[in-house]
Amino acid sequence: MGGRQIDDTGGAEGVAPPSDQTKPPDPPPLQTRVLRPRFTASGSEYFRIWLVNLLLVVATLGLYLPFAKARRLRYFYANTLVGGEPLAFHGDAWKMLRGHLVMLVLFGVYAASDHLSAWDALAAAVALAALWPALWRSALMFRLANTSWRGLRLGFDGSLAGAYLALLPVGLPALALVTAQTWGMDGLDPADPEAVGLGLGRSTPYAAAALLAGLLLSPWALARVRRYQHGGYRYAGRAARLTVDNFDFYALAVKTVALALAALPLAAIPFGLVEAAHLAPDGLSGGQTARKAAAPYVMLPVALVFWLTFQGMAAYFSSRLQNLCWNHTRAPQLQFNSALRAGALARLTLKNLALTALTLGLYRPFAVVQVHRLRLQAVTLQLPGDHTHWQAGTDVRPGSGSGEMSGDFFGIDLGL
Amino acid sequence: MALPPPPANPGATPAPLGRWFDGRKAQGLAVRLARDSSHLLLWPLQPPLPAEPAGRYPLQALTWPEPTRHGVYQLILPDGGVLRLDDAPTWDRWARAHHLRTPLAARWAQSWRSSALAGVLLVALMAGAWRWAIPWAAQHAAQAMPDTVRQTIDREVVAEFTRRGWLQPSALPAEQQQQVRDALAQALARAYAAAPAGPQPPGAQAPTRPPASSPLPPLPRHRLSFHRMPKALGPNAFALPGGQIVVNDALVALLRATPPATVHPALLGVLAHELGHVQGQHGLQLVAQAGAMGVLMGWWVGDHSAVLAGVPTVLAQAGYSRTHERAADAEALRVMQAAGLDPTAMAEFFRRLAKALPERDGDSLSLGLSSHPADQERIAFFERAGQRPRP
Repeated sequence: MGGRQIDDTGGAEGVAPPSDQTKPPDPPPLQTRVLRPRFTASGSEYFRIWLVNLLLVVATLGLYLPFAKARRLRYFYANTLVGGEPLAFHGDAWKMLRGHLVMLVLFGVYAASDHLSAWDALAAAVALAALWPALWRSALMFRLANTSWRGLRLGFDGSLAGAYLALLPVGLPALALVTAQTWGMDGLDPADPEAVGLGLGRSTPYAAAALLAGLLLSPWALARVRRYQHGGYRYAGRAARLTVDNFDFYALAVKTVALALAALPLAAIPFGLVEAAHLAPDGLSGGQTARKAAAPYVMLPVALVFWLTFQGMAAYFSSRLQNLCWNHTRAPQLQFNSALRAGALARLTLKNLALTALTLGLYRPFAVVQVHRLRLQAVTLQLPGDHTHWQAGTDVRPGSGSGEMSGDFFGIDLGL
Repeated sequence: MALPPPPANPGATPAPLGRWFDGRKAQGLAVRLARDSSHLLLWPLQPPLPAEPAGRYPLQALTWPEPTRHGVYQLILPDGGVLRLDDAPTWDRWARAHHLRTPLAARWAQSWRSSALAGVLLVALMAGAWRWAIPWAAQHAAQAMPDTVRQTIDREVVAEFTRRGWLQPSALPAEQQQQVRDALAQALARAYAAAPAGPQPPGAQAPTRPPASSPLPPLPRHRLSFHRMPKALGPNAFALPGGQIVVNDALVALLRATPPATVHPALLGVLAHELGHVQGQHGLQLVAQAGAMGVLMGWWVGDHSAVLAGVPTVLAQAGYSRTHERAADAEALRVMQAAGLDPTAMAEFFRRLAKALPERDGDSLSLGLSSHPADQERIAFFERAGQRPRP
């Protein structure tokens, strides 16, 4: 590892005192530098931005949402320092407003179609699903093309066909599931319980098959989505690619499920304790009503424990997924390393959930900042010392704003 | 908007320094900032000093830096470049001296005091929306909804309740059901017509127009059906948006009239109360309000806490129902009085109900008799009305 130096304080270049007007000597190009991003946002600062944003969004009935989003991104980017230089967000909030309105109309039409017949609703769902990959790609393009580091734009160069192919293993089983259910109830009266039973009876085998297929395909689907996403990333004319086998995604899914199965008996212990505590007085008084009255008090902690277990599993899965994807993302002269610890993320998630609940949601901006810091600072970038002399690629083309708002549902992690 | 002129003595505040990235090279250029009447000028720091500034941007086209303590101030430039400022306080002083104003929303979040004001305004706004705007919008949305949609909702809800086993076929004899239907039709005919039109045909459903001079809304379309419900639900009745009124056997049994061939006036009172819910479209309002509240709460609490978001919505709904219950009670009273029935019979109903279900606020259909105003208050309402001379 000779010739490599970790730089997590920020490069000397750029923060030089004004008196030092001589150009710093260029580092030799072959010397590799390892940059660890720093996230300097503070919860209290973001809390105030969030509060003002919230007020303006509510007061404008949601029209301020894209502006709030642009402000949030500008704040987050200004506090994301890579080698001492921040990211910058160039997105135009007015353009994002257009996209926001398009999405509103799209979902409005979709929601209205729910009142039509079952087959019409299915047609609307299919139409939305058919549009979705294009919107997703457009969102990726918009976000990346409006993000810069050292003045050079990031970019997303995934093809339209690629977006459809990437989402196909998700879309097809979902479509099959919805079609099976619609077909099952075709021509039957939903108000007639016997007809409902009949409809469920004839569609359930197909619906179950579609669901099972979707579950079995989901790691593969995730692998395709991530390969498309990371493979489209560009910086300074350098194209990234994600080289992970489908096997790794299946292994991660199996490990997560195995961990969940191992954790469930543990989660069941409090259930047993609570149940025992309620059974004991029952034996004495024989009061069936007392037990029945206690039912919600039994179910609440049980539901809570299962929910917390689920949150823990989600933290494990998402941390391992981040590591898997970024450790295998490479571009010419550029590579990443991610060492996010699942335990740290799980602990932070649980702490954040508890504090958010205790403060009736006021803690949320603090939680967002902390999770973002943990995730971002687990990553390092490895690139040659002469990256400060890189030039913009020729593929600079901003996407349209309408995809950006829809892209938020997917959450492009790290914003890198 | 005209820009303020540069100050008379521009040298008084030191010029901010920064690094200018033009969007084409990763190597930034160290610059000193200056301005003329309308433009921001970027002068290279490195000698030799050129005759022209390296960059020149209209001040109004700049995207202002988001104030941050630990992060970096950046000016987003209209040509796709970015200007990274070395030192935030120098920039702040310089921008102030040049009367360049940070956008309102950004300035707002800078101090705790103004942020707290935003919090107070937010709470006031939400309270106002909760008290006036959401009910108003929900009511209009409910009234504008086409009848076919309401009928669909009724069918779906009945189907769902049937699936859950809450609605089973009634054990009441058909003639007793018809008796209740006839009595209700008769009472409604009197309440909704100027002169009693005599006995209505059985199962009359057509909307009856009130006389033109009366401010009464038309009698809503409705349909009465009888069902058996699980014991836990107790004596119960509920109305759905499309006019489907469901009453359970336990309620009919609870209001058994003393001469067995007649219908207890309180049973008609309860049915008129449910009809009041249909008329006010309370059910749809509840759904619309719950939806609006869900959206708001979802945004407030955040994506990952759907569980938390649900709780306040449910809590808030109880408060809403009370207003609706009072409106429905008023309708029940109006129908009873018009039909010549004694309103104090309703007081008797509440007493019997309290005896039949000592812990009534446990499990109950939320559309039915739960989340009602306190019995005492309602008993007093009907008893007072009974003591007053009839209009």
